[in-house]
Amino acid sequence: MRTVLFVFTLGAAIAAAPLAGQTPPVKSQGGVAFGTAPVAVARPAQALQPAPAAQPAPAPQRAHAPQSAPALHPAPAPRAPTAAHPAPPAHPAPTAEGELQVPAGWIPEAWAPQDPADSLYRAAREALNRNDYDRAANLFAEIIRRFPQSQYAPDAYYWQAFALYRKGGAQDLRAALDLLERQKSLHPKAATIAENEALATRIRGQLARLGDARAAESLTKSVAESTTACNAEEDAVRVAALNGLLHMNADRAVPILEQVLARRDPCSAPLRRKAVFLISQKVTPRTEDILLGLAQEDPDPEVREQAVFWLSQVGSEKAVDALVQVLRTSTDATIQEKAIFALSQHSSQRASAILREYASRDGVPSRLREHAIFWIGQSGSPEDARFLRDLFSRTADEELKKKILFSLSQMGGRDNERWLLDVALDTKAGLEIRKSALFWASQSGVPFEELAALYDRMPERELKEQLIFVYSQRSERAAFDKLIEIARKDPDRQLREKAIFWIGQSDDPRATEILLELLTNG
Amino acid sequence: MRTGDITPELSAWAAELLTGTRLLLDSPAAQDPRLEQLLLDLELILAQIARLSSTGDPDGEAAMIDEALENRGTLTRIRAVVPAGPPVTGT
Repeated sequence: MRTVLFVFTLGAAIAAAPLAGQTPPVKSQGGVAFGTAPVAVARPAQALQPAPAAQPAPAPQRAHAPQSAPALHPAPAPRAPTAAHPAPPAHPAPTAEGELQVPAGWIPEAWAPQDPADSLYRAAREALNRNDYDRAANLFAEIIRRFPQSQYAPDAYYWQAFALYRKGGAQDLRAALDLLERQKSLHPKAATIAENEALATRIRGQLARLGDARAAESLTKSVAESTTACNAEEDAVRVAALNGLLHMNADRAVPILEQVLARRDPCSAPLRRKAVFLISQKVTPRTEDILLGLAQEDPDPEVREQAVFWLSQVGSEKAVDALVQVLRTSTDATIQEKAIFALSQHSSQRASAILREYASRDGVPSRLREHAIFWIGQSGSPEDARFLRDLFSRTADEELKKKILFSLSQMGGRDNERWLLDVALDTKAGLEIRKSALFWASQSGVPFEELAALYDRMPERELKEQLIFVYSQRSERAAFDKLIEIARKDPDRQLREKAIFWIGQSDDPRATEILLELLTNG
Repeated sequence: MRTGDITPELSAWAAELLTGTRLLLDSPAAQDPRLEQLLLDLELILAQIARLSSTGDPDGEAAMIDEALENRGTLTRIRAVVPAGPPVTGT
């Protein structure tokens, strides 16, 4: 189970890793696109409004931004088992040669104790996992040399090649290629054979970058070998070849990538998802057009989403135009959301202005406007804060208003805090809006004294209830004191009960004592 | 990890992630040494998972992978890289 969980975690990690050194500018904490899944990592403040409802209510949680991340990975596609493990070999009789060089004090767990290479194999794999590539390569070589009939020998070729590939020198890489060739010819049913060609192609790519003409030629041939077969292993090889070629000779690789991306068959979708990533890595005058075409026309949703994401990472005005076109012409709300996010990540003033204009526009779906408001709020700029406050006064849509309250609370700052309190005190505003403003004002960090002073200024019971809830969510001692005061002295029985409820939910060490006191005194 | 978790689908998925990991290793993302090392560790672990379903001893192999994850603190490092935030939706 653990590995399964790990893979899920891994997917998230890959998708959300910081994009350090990414060539196109990333406005903030951009996401990494990773083969199948560019994921936008929201800027730091990410919160999902718990409904600022009257209590009892769940404790507020800093939580999620509107999900702007493209899908992470496709569901695992079934792949036929590729290679059966070879039948257990006849084992050579144990000899003195079987003495193993293992770390002192280390007792290997026996997997196949009947196999004389068992402990050696385990020691080799452990060395590999410790990044001790020299030792790992030597131990795997020893298995091949001393125990050629061992059940571990077929995979030892692959892992020795892997260790040498990690060492990375030209000589090591060539030796690794030779091992992989030998594995193919000697052990075509080895468990690792499915990964053999992908690793070999990757190694050729590295050799090509080191100036190895033969490897470069082989790589070019691999890329040229077009196939329409639905085969994940072939795809992996082709992606490795395209990646290698892209780093060696982008002018040759880009047209081939375009050919791959021009395909529309479902079978090639996994390949196209990788190709989108690759095409975005080498910005050419055609990059925006290619990405726009994919965003609009590719039948695979993930390819479309990735295309939009990568448009956000191309820092050109042409990319902004493309995103605007996606936003205006797409009928897919998910893609439109991605375009909004992508615009928010673009560094140009024009992109920001387009986003503000979109958020203001009547006649577009509220959900998209809310999305735009959220991302505007994440910018933190005073201009955007002014815009949101102004939009609040202009719109009659209550949901949009609530989204603006939330966004401004996320922006923080004294101006926004005061404005939120003003909304809370505005008797012309609806009660729900005022309650929401109270909640988000508190969440944005308004000093507690200001919140405490509101209790007597707000005659409406519903607002007082909201304040009690808001106090319960603050960590200051003064907030708990205020709850005690209300529980003891408020003339309104219902409000006292609310305060008692939240005292009961508190972690404050005084809570039990206070509750006992209130119980005793009625 | 239980034997039942080790399926061809899991291996296929690992293989696909492995391809993606290698693309990232060649991308500017890997210019961050911390991320590069994490990606290298992931590459090795994924290579091991990718062949799990066809190995003759999946339990032994899985134990080896678990051990590697533990020893290298891979999960902790992943969590350090992944910012707190929304769960990523899949398709």
